[in-house]
Amino acid sequence: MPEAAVRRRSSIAATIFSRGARFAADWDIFIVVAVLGGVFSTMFVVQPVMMGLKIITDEALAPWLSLTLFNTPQYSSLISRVIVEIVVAVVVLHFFALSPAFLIWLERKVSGRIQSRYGPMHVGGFHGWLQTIADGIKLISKEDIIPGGADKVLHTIGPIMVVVAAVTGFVVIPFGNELVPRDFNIGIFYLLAVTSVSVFGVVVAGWASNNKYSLLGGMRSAAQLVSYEIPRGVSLIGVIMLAQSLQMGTIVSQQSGIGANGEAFLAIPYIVFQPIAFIIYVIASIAETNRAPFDLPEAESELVAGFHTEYSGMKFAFFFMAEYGEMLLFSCVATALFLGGGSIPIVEGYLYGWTNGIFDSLHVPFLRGFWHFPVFMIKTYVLVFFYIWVRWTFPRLRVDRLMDFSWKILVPWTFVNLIGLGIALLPQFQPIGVWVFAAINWLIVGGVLLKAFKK
Amino acid sequence: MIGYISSCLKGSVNLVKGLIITFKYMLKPVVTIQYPYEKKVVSERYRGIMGLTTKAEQDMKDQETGLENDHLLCISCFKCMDACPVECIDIQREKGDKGKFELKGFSINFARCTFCGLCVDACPVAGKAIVHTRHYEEVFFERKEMVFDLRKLDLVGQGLRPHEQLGDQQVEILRRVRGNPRSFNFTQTERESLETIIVNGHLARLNPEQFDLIKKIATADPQGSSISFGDQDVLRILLDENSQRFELSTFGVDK
Repeated sequence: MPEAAVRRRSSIAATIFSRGARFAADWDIFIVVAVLGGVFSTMFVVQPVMMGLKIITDEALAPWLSLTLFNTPQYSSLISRVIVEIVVAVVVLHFFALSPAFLIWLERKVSGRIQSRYGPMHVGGFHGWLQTIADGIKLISKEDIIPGGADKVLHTIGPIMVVVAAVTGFVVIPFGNELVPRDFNIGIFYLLAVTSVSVFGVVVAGWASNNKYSLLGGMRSAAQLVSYEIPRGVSLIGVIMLAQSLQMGTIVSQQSGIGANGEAFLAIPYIVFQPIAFIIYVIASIAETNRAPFDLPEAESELVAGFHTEYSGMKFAFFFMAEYGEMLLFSCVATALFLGGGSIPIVEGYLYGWTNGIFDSLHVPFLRGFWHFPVFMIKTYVLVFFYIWVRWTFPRLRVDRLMDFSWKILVPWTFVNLIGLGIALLPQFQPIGVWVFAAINWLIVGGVLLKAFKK
Repeated sequence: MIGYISSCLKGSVNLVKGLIITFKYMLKPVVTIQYPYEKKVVSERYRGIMGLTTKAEQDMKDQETGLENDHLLCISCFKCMDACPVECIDIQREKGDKGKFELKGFSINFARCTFCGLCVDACPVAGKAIVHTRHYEEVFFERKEMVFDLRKLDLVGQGLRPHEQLGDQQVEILRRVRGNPRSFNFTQTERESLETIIVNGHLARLNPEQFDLIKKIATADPQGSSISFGDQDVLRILLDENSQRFELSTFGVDK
């Protein structure tokens, strides 16, 4: 018998009953579990609930409400609104609360792989999938310590502010065609306003801890977040100029190739016109989430643990959760604004119209655009993976260079991009202006990528 | 201005290069050995804990003397005892009825042993009566446990960890597995009693289900099958036409 055949059989037999086989971690299994697990578990939870909301209307509730005291039209519409709002809030909260558990596990696995090790392998049996849950239970059961000299009220408010800032951002995320918790007409403005609240949480936490490391971390965080807020906001203005709207739903539908009257055209994500703005947005949002290489506020080599030095138990877990929640939020925003949300590039408009006809003829209209949420999550998780990848690639920046990087590199490039796009969008340059601008953008990005990939 | 732009672009190129490197590392195989479940395969020349060598089955028949400890190669010549620089070896012998020295006791104090291998070098027996095995994970609670007597050293030489308690019949089977030629027939009673077998120097406890699985795999492919425990402990099974004779090769199947 050839040696190779024996080897193969041996590994098959090992997977059958050897205890060690659990640890013969295969890369392909890991990828499949990571991507599909993340995407489809959320899909099967969020999608049906969001779709189910369409059933809760005044008409549907009327027979039930007629049995109660609230048997008037005002009451019934109010109550149906309240029910819908509560369900949306619960879904978004759970999405926010459960995703970090998966993301932390993913981060630990990816970081392990980058460093040629496994990462968590034991808890839960299969590739340590319960590790984060176990850590969460541990953190909940820990004592909540408030230092003697600390401001008790502010010490408690700090982590709450950070988490609230992260979770409220999800309100305007268009997960799918009709899967938006609340589609404001000033969605992007709301998003920028709400996410920048987290800096107050960090500063408050640093101040209230009565600890020099916490205070330094908080101050650093304030300086950093304020600096990176500018390139982040300005890089989004390009998208707003292209879409002529601040509404997230409108921006996504403009990238999904469906016209106002339902006519189909080519679905082109805005990253095609704005690659540099996209890159700057991603970099700035890494800094916003306080993640490496911009994790100066919690630089353990200088500041112990930065602003959360004096936090333990669930309050610490709040900071941790907020970091991953924000990472997910910023990935979702980038997906919606630059990558076309839940739409499939190029074919989306035609596909949507075609499948709508089929679903309507089969009397299953709720299946319209069923791929939006999965596609959205796949795009988001690719970005999340990029965040993790960056964290385990680059070392931490020095404080002054951190500021230099924002003010001397990101801000000038965003403004040049903005002015260039403004010129390209002038009426006399239409319709070719935008495409010329996109070509110049891609010349720069493609040149950098080619140079890097060339040996 | 030109310098600023080119430095920005050069910096970006270098950042992307860094990302490419980490991505490549992510696709490379993992180097971790999950220790309690997987064990490192050490070299054949690894100087692990000492063991006493058993005679081959053929030699055992030829040189039948009926003396105690006759299955061991040791001729109780004391040369290892003399060679030992820390004097951790202690041998007792008696002159037997047929004028031959009979090995009565052999102990090694592993609290003292430096694993220098001089005793192995000194052994005059062809094939070496005392050898370094590849065991590297002996742990003791008390110092007196570190003195191995003859029975323990015998078991170590047969690839058994001394603290694993086996029945006499199992020890007998193991002896036959370890001897030459490396094949044997299970009788029905032996098969029933065989709950533990040696797999490449480690004990693997097989429950009846697992034993049936081994048999099933062996039956499915009469040409020969192999089974690995934790990627390292390899047991090859060859089954003859009557489905009665397993050939188990348990040695030297390194990666």
